[in-house]
Amino acid sequence: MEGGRPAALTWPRLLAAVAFGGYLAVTPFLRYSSYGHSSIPHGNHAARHGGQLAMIGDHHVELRRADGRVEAFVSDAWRRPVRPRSGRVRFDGGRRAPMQWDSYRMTAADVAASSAVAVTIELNDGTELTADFDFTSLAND
Amino acid sequence: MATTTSTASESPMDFWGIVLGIFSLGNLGNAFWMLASPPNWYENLPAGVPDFGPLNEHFVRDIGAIYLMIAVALAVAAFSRRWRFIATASVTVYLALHALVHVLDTLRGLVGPEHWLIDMPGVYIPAILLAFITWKVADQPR
Repeated sequence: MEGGRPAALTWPRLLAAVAFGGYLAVTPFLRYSSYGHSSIPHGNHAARHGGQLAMIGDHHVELRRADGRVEAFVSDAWRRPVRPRSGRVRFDGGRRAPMQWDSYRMTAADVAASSAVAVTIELNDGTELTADFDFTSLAND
Repeated sequence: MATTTSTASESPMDFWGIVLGIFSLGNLGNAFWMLASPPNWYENLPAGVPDFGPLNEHFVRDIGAIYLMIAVALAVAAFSRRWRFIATASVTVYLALHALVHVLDTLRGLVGPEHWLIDMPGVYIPAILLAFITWKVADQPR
């Protein structure tokens, strides 16, 4: 079809149309080599949510303190988000609080005066990730 | 008794009608995914969505509504040659602007350079191909 009246829809053209449309419709949902987060394991160690990032083995935990909450974003080696089984947080080596899953991260009420925050995340396979975060510079601001 | 006539402009599916119709279904699926479960879409769409920032469920649903309209526009383009060009061109404008936003965000470092490849199948190629389709259907009889 080059202008004017469309060409007749033969079987080869029908199959080509289905393939073309299928490509357009499905490709955005396919997983491919880079998967969509980092092309290589540990290829991206940037904090994405304005917090501090810790690498624990093949996982990452980014901790952010905002609006009276402590938020932990857990991801794997490629920085794909991971939903953990549970989590807990400890402030200045003392007060502890359990973390709850909220949409896309673990959260708990913050203790604003604290400068050291230790987070323990339990993954679904039972693996525990523990990281210590130091917010001393922020506490002095 | 009323009679109907079949004209070239409203005849059954042709090549581009089938392409646009199937493309519409893909956008419809994406729209329902975004509207039904923003967190699930945010975490599982293989396009590195978290790289762009934390989840905002409201905004994901806003964009889901846009993709629903895109699906409708593409369905109209698929079934009506009268409206095909304007519907396809309208969606092309959105996809081009969307692609431009991705280019700017990648250039300014909001996301890493890996996003040139990550965004290729879901953002850049659909915009290019739909621009091509718009060009091809521009001179179809309406």
